[in-house]
Amino acid sequence: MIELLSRFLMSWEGMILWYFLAVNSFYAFLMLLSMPELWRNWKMAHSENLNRYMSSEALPPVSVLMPAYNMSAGLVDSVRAQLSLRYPRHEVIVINDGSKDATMTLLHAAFNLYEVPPAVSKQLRTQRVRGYLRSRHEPGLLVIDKENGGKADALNAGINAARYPLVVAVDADTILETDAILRLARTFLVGTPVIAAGGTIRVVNGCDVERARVLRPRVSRRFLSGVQVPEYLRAFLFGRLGWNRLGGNLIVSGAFGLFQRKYLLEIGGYQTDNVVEDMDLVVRLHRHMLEKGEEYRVAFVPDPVAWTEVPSDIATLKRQRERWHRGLVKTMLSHRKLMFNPRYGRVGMISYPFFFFGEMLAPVIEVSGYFFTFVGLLLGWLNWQFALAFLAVAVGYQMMLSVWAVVLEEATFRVYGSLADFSRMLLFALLEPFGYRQLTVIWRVQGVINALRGRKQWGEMQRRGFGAAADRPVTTN
Amino acid sequence: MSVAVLTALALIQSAFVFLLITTLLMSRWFRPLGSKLARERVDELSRELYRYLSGQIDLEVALDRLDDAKLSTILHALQDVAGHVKGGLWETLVTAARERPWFRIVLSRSGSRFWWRRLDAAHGLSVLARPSDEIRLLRLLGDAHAVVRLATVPSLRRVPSQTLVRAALDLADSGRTPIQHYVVETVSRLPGLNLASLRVRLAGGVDPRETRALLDLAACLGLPDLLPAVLDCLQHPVLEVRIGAVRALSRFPHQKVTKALVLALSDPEWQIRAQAATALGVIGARDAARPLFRLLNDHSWWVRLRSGVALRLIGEPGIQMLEGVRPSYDRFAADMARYVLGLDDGALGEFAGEDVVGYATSIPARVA
Repeated sequence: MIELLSRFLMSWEGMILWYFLAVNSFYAFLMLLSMPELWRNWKMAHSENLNRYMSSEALPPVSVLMPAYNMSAGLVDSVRAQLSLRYPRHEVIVINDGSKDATMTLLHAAFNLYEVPPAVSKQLRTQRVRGYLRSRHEPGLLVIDKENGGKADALNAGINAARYPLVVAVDADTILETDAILRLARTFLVGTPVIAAGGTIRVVNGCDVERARVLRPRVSRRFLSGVQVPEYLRAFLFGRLGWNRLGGNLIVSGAFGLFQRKYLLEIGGYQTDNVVEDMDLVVRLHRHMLEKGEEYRVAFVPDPVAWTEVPSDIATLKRQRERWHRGLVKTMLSHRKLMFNPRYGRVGMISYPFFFFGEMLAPVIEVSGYFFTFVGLLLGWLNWQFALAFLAVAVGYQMMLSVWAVVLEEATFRVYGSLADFSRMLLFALLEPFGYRQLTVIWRVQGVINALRGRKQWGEMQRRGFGAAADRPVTTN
Repeated sequence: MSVAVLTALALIQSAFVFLLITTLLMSRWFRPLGSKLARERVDELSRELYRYLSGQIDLEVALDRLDDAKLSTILHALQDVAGHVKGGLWETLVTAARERPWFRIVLSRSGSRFWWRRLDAAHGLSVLARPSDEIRLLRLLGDAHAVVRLATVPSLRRVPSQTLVRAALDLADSGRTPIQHYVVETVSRLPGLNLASLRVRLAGGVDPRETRALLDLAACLGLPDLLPAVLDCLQHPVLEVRIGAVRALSRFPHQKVTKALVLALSDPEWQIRAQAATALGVIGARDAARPLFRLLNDHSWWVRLRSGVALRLIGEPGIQMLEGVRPSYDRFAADMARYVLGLDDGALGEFAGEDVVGYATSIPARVA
């Protein structure tokens, strides 16, 4: 019996090793693919004269959707910042998703709102809208006051009310660079027909912020928020760029994504029962376009930047990562028809299987690897040199990917100017595999378990706001 | 897999990480804030060019400053300044700049096999081109890379030859809708555009995308010579083109146009009715107040909205009609009237400036 168990353990360890090699080789492949893509984008961004587009009416007008739930801290500044974005023609739609705090009162006071009749074509079903309000001095602003239905429901209400052919979904706690939409929308001027485009999300914690504008990008001194800087860089600068090249980008971040409204209406908008509505939306868009047989592209553009507040305490980070993974599992399971289905092209044959095996199952396999290694070592079935070497390769690989993301950042955009910030970013990239990674893996496993149990809650998120409001925690859904 | 292989892998990875970190540190050392400095250099050079254009420094001094800079800096600075300045001094600068060695590099890049070099050439020529560059510009307009083609379009303002305009309109044919808008908008600003060729193209167009783009061009120009061709497009079999024609008509304030638009208010397609209502509002056609009022209880919400907006845009008679709508007449008409009367001027202006269907992406390439 013991012999059998020992054999099982050894073969499981071997399997994990091969799995690890396969997944990481694919990441290395994505990394290679991202290099020409990043360079091409950087070169275009670098040599472009954005003023030329600003003075042109060629760029399609954009509706900026800002769902807000209990976001009173910094919301007014955020709305003002969105209204002053550099773009030829845009409107801002704030959707108050049944906030229990002073969100509506603040908006009323700041923008002198008045109710207008509900003249909106309701093509997507949403929770009851209490009223549509316009500002007496900001003609580009529309506020929708509705009953609570979650972020996806709020976005659907915004899509209904949007007047323009492009919609940008922006979290109310996200800061857009002034030219972010201009840079994102220019993808509609070149290349194949773009139906959705996402930009880079960076970490705002630690940055110098004033009136919802990042004055000076900084890397937080606090470990938990600082370590997410290279993590975000890795996800965006080579993860999504690599997928761009492969043509199977499955994620456009919910915090900052541009979509053609027409297609959002065609697929019935956001799903309200998925806790990561952004990924589910993009997968459904892929399915819809592939089933229709129309040429399309979901693009990731690295130079438009949005800054987002990341969790700075363990409890909030845990809830966020658990929710992300729970949503990933739900999305993967509800679109299992895509798996190795040649009808869905690269999405069915490459992206979906990779996200299923390489992302969804990864934490489960990794945790089982830690567990069996520990048990094997304890019972003397496993050679400790082997375990040590295995650990060194795993940690070394993580480190290499994070440092590589820093290299890409430094070689192109170089957002963090000071040597101190650069050093901190590099240090966090080196420290990430020690402890932080293992914690996130455990939370992701909890996400798998909760998804299988059918849990649907979002969980409370502690937000601290930007700049001066940073010490005042705010709760959002 | 043996311990030795894993150890070797770990060692290779460590060496690679070490190499990456060394590269990063070296890069920090040798390229301190490269992009920030590059922007500062561009700003500095732009300032020098402005000083020349305001007569504070001589041409030779300005040219020396250009010669001392990197090509990318020169191109950025020239584009920055060219966007704001025109006239004799600028043309003198262009003539002299074309003799400098760096300009020869710009020209040679137009034939490069790398798109980013051709992009440099397109940017350079967009501010320094002369009629002698026509062949080069023609080649760049037909470039395989969309970014190069787009960057070449503004050169038309410097070399408005009919051959180039034709090539640009061909580019509009093959491009997506926003590209068409961009090209058409640039072409519409060209001096001395050959209207005859445009009329012929508009009348004989078989590609709906091209016809739609040309209608936008006709709308930008708003010249009476083009009106008959635009009116003819109201009979086009493709809906998108008919919408484009109705939209274009709002730029031709003429009695004939009002009649055609009032007729379009009873079109079976809601998009045409909505666009016609908008166009009548933009023109301010008071004669059309009664037919617009009738559309306030159209079955399409968009048509109701557009006719309400149009009634407000045409002024007093329209506003009185809106104020007089009672729920007993029609509940939906009354709702819409209340909404439109509540719109502020900004929102009203935005509604008036909008395309009914936005940027449609599904215009068929050929009429069946």
